[in-house]
Amino acid sequence: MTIDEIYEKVNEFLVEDLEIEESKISEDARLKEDLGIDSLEVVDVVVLVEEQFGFKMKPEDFKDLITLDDFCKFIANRIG
Amino acid sequence: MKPFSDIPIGELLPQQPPFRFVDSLEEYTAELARIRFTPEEGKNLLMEDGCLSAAGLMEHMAQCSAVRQGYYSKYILHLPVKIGYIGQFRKLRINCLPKAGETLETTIFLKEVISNITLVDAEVRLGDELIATASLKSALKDD
Repeated sequence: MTIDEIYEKVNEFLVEDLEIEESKISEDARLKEDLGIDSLEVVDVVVLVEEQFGFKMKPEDFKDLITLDDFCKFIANRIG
Repeated sequence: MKPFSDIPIGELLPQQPPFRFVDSLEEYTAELARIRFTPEEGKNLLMEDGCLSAAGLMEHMAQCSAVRQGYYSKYILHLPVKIGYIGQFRKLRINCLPKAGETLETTIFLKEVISNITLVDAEVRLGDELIATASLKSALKDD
């Protein structure tokens, strides 16, 4: 899967499942401050990542992920 | 282990009538819980024009999630039932509202638990008809 395909899938679940406005989504959007992915939302993200990308994130994985770009690159690294 | 039918539902969640919107736990597994409820005029709040209101249906789904959690605490972990709070409803779909006297069968599917936050999906059926669905998150009060 290319990084562009990962971005596309992530954008899709941010809009459709987490109901985040598409206008707020960009590569440099901050997960917490701009997209509102707080500790409550992390549970959904863990489920969605497992469904879409086939691996289970741990809550502590989010500590170093600041932007959407960080998040997508993290997924890319995990799925090789 | 007690049969589900022998468990007083009031053991599993703090809400009392007339603000209790669950009657009995029918099934519990690690993946799901199945709960029945028959709304009735005079027995339950949140009734409107002979039907359980949308707010009542949402409260029913939330209490079904609480029943699942309560059973898990009391009968699996053998711990006291904790107070929980609904943190979020998402993807709520209500196709129709049940009339007084109609029995709902609601299945709660456990999706994920992280720390004290639990994510479940709820499906409410009236006979074979799926009348409502939602995804909801609850948080347990820390000791």
